[in-house]
Amino acid sequence: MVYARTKMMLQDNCFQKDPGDVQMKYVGPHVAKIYQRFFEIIKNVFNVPESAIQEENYNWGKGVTEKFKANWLVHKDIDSFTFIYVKIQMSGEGTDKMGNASIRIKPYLRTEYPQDTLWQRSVFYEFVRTFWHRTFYHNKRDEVMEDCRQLTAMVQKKLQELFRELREMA
Amino acid sequence: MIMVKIEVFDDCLAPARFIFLNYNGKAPFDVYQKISGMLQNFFEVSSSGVGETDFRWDNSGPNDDFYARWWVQKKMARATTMWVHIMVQGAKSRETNEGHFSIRINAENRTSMKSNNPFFRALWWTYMYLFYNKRRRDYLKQCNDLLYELRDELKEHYNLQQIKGE
Repeated sequence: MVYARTKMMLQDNCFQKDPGDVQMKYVGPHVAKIYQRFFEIIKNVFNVPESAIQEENYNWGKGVTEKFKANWLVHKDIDSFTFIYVKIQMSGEGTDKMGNASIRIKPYLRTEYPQDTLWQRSVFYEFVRTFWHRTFYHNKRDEVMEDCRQLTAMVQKKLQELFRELREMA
Repeated sequence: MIMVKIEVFDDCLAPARFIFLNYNGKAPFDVYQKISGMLQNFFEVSSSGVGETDFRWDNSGPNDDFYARWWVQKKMARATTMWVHIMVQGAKSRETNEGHFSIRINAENRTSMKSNNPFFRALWWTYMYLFYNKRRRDYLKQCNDLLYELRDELKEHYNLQQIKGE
């Protein structure tokens, strides 16, 4: 993530067509186990440290059935300007015997150009930056976008495996 | 004489603004005692570094509602101080001791400099640009990690599912 007070941000959805995100639903046993296992999947597939995964919202209800909801924000730095930014929403409820969970993954590609200093705000800098972006960086962003889609598909695949494993545990 | 002050605020959780933790279950008011008892040791600050600014208790209805706010001030360096704000709001049933609470945590690092000398101020900006911004970035990471550790400790207290590091 670019460390600047003022920045110009370019954001693209990794899946450009609607709905632009991945949604998965699970009905079966051991729902609460998804929380921790899914976190491991994210960490391994995106190859990011734990500090790159922010858990913004965490709800947990304890009772006869466990009810939970969590939001995660994943940052995967690609270079000093670009990072993959994934918003994940997860919710579920149930017991060890039966329950349901729903997961939504929204991957984005973000490029941020700092505009803090007078030099960075100057017309000449903007001219050079635009030229450089169009000539060299545009293709690189396309490649990263492809990686972003691949990683999201991989998470989806690993989640399907996890769901199968949980169903077989019963 | 009025002193010129430059103050830079860095949000520790950016791009998110807050950490929220919501709980439903037994003994929700324990969270108040847990937080008040742990802040000083957890952030390694003296008693003047912690403050409870607001505490409300409402027992007029069938449930006891509570609300509390704390701040923590931790010096990271001569020019930089970390400010943490914690807010807890919840309710518990008087008969069953069951209920809920929500915690909101956020923090910022404040870097400040006071001087009336324009030359010194220009020097300070240069120093920031060349060296200190990197340190500020480290402080931001430390701050972010501390907040998530705090949240995990609260999760542990209530035996909630959490992500265990390898």
